[in-house]
Amino acid sequence: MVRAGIALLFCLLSASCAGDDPVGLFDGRRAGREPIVETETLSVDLDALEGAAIDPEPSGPIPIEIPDDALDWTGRGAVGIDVQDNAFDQRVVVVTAGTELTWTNQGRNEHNVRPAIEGAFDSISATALAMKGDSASRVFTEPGDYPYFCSLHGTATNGQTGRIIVVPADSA
Amino acid sequence: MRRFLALLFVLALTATACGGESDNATETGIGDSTGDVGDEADPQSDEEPEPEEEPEPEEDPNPLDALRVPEDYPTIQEAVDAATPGDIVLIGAGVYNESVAVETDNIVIRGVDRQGVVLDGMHSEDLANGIIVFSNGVAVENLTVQNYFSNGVFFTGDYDSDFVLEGYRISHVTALNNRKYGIYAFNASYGLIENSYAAGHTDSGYYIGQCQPCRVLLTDNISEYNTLAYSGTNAGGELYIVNNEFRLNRIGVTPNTLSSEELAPQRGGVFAGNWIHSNGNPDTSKGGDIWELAYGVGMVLPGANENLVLRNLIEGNRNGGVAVSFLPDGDVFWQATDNQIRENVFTGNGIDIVMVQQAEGDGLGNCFADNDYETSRPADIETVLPCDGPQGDLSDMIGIEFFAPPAADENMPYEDVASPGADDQMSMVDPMTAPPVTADVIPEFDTFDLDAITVPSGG
Repeated sequence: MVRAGIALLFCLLSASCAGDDPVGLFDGRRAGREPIVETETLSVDLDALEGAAIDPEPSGPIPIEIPDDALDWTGRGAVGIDVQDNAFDQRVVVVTAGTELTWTNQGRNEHNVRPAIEGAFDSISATALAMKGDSASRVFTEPGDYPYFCSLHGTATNGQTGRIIVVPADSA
Repeated sequence: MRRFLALLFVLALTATACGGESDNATETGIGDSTGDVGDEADPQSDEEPEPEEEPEPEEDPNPLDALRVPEDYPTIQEAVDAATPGDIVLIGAGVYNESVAVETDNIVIRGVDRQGVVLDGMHSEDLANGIIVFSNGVAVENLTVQNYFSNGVFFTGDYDSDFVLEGYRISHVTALNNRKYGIYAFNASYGLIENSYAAGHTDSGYYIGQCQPCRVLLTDNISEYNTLAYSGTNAGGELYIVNNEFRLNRIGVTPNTLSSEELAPQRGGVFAGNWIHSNGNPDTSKGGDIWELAYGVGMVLPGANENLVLRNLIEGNRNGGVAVSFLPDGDVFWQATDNQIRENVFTGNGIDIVMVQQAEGDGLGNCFADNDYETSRPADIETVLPCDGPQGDLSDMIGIEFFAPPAADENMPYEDVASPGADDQMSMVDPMTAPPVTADVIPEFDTFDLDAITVPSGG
């Protein structure tokens, strides 16, 4: 059942995720306060995701929403996210467990990277991303959903936010 | 819409009528409600004492029906979270070590006393912004924001989903020693920033970024002891920077283009009636290296386009009055084109007007007319780059390295930078009773009357 859930997750990712283009992240027009991305709701058995950061006490399958504009970066050992003023260029990415993610400041302002769920991963301070060209990395070994934000230009739910979705290595 | 336009102009004209230094007055408005000693009874009088009047009904302690801090809510954030559109959050005197996020449209956040209500970030990265606003129509007024790791007050559209914030107002706000910007509007339009004061920032006291058209009026503000007095990256279109005092900063006013934000190049701002003076202050914090090239210049237009610089008093700036220049931005050189510098008064600057060499023998549409000035490069700049005739000999143009850079010791940690004018700023009138005015009605600028703006008289 676990394998089936993960397989379903990966199949849908393969079908729905974009390539390297963030699929209209900045092209669409906002209408009122409606979200601009559609999502697929998947049922994933978190028992399979040992140590997943999103739920300290999972009581059963919970949904993981994969936006249509998520970038499918599974199967890569290392990937990079460009940090602009004031946005993460690759806002939602899906990677395989064990992938190293590197954030590089491409803007003029300093930025930081903080998990929206405290303790989900080690924060990156503004000192590490103070100037254009500065970069810092984290390795995501545990499958799960890792929303994050820059606390200088956003909050956990608003402004400069991003999201890492980590799938198990054997699902790729 | 017209209603708010009218309000904008009333506010602007009222402040103008009160004089260029309206915010330097020492009165706070708080003392205005105290009783008049002349009403006291004369102890020498022989007249019969009047019968005792009936006691007046108790004064309503909350006439605005406000969400009060700390009486009703212990923190500003809790009051803001409880507010619904149309509400006012009224903050009592005190120091608040919190970073407030606003996600409700059309509310007013007001302090009861500009100097007495202090949001203090203690330079902690955990308290990045004094107030960050994600919602439309919010007004922030009559308080101080200081010592934040990033910005004092920050209005921002949501870049990720292309949401442009619409409607904001900042009035009678003092921003001190925040690490980046004092007052910051990003991806936001339809704004009014007025009667505010900013000092001690490592970038600009006031920053408007990434908007086209901006539809913003910034008026009757003071900016001093910042790296930059005003900066506007990729910001223009119905952008009016008028009747402000930009003094004693490292560099003065800088509309500019950078590829780090969307909507490049910058174009279409109006800078009129400002008093831009005494910039080139060594007791400021050094920002990015790029700005050191323009150290001591009152107004520099690096990579800026189609701006009108009109009837400003530009005096006593250490290295230069106005400079039109390209901006090196990585591999890109943003050129400044089609700016008009008209009817300004220059005096006592290192050199009054400079046109930096951008393209061999080409003024790129930049022109100069009817200014009162003494020195320029190229010499006699209104003849060689006129606004109503062919350009002349431009062989006298100079390079971007023209201005003398600051010495290595002309730099100060931002935490230690002074804010000498902060205590003199006026509070708003009747903060306890003045009805809240949200910023939800969108102003229109199509009838902005530039003819009414005059060159300020200065000191």
